[in-house]
Amino acid sequence: MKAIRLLPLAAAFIAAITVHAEPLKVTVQLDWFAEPEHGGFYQAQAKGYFAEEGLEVTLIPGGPNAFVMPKVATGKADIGQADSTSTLLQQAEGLPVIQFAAVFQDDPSGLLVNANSDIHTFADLEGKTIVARPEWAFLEFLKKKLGLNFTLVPTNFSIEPLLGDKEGVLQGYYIAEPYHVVKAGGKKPRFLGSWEVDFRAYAVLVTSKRFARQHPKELKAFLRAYIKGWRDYLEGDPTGAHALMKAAHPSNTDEFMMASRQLIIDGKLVTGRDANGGPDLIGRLDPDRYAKQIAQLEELEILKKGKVTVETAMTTQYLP
Amino acid sequence: MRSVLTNILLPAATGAVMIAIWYAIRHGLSEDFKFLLPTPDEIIGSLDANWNILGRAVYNTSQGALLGFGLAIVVSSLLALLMSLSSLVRISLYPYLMILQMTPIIIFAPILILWVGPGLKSVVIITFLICFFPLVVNTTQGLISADRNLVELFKMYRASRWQEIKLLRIPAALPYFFTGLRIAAVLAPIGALVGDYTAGSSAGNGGGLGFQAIIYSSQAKYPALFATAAVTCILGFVFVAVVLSLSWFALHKWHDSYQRTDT
Repeated sequence: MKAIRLLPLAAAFIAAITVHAEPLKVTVQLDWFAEPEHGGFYQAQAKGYFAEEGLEVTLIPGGPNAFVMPKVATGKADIGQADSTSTLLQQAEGLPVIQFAAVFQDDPSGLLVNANSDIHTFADLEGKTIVARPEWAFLEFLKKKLGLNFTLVPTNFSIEPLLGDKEGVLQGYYIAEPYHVVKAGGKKPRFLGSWEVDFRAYAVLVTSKRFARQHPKELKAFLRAYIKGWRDYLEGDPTGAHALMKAAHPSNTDEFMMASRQLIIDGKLVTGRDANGGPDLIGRLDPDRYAKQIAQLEELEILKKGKVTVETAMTTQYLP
Repeated sequence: MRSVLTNILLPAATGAVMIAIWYAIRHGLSEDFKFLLPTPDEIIGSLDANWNILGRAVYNTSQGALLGFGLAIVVSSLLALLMSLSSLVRISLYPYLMILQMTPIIIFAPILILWVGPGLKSVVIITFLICFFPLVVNTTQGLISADRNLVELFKMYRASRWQEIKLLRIPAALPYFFTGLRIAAVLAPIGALVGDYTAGSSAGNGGGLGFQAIIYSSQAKYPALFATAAVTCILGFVFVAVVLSLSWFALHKWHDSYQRTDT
């Protein structure tokens, strides 16, 4: 009897220890500068959602040389942001990382085309020059699925090909580059979205399998805060996140951040463009979509057969 | 007295020990970190599997390296000849050669892309820039370092300026020229690789070795990345070997450096 009465006390004691324990330090390697595409992280940071979950989160802004995957795989960062397809290819090479939540339900990477050029669809790219990250899996997809031939030039992340009368084709996020092109005096570039040709990639969060093994509880806590952060960023007042973004990346202007956030909302990037879309979908990954994409990539011989499965590539167990 | 056998056996033994250590390190890595160091057989396997791509990349990089190297030889020889004619020319040009040498290629590359576009042209220019300086400095030094007494002798016999250059100064400059050439030969494949990395394109069926290195590293194809490193190293050896044999052919009959037997 006595022992049973003591149980709640013991539970309270354990809870007290847990609450007062040192917050776990988590570093997040972003794939790009502190811009609205990372709104969920920055809002959760600004509003203290991570701290409420007992996490001390450091956001490391990315850029042209973010090296997200090597950093996550070697433990120099605990969590990273990447696109799901590139991650699948790297997982197939044996990189011990796992995809565990969505940032965007559809990766807003696509091809931006100079408004003055005569390229209107993907088929018009035959024989053209595309400026992009050479490793971008979507390019292999275009070559093989649509039978296109084009020259690839590694991007130096300048928007110059989209200015003037050039026949520029540039990989870009439609929530960012078009704004800068117009600001620089160019015409708003046309955007060819990868989903238009049934290439459905997520922007995802990845962690190393080791970190996932060691910190399952913290990953769950992280996602609770992250998802709350996104929802608040999109539905509430983004001022807190924007202040942090400006501090981390001074060339951000309020006008740009508000415009980019609006494009994320209008494009339903975080909440999903499909019928089941909505705030409840924030962060969610669909294993069926992975199965479909793995099959698609294997069929096009972009992914070697059997090298990666839905189970080894992703998990939904840390989602709330 | 070292025998040929020692010359082969000792390096081979060192190699074997290094490979053993390599496997041991890999074996000691936990499952989570095995990807950090692919084994030699994985690297050879990926060299085989990727040879279609890497072979073409070697061809493309060699092309850039050869063209840039060749251009550097021609331009530097002409310029060195010009500079050897008068110290006034040397004084006027030298600061600008220094400026050219001091500008880092990494910064020059985006400008070059703007001017001539990415691809072979940019790669050739970058290789040229990297190879040019040691060639022009060494050759000029050689041309102005002919033996004073012989120069006086040529003057005594009323040799023309052209005779002096052709019969005295150029032969005297050859050892210097080849020293520059050896340095430039090491730099040429590196220059083409840097050019390819910073200003390459996928033209020529997939670009060169630098271009492939970007792809392999960002796709986590680490064995292929190591294979690319091996291939690049071999390419460097080939360049240097060719220059060393050229230098031997040109100099071994008369120059002191080939008369002495090495100890």
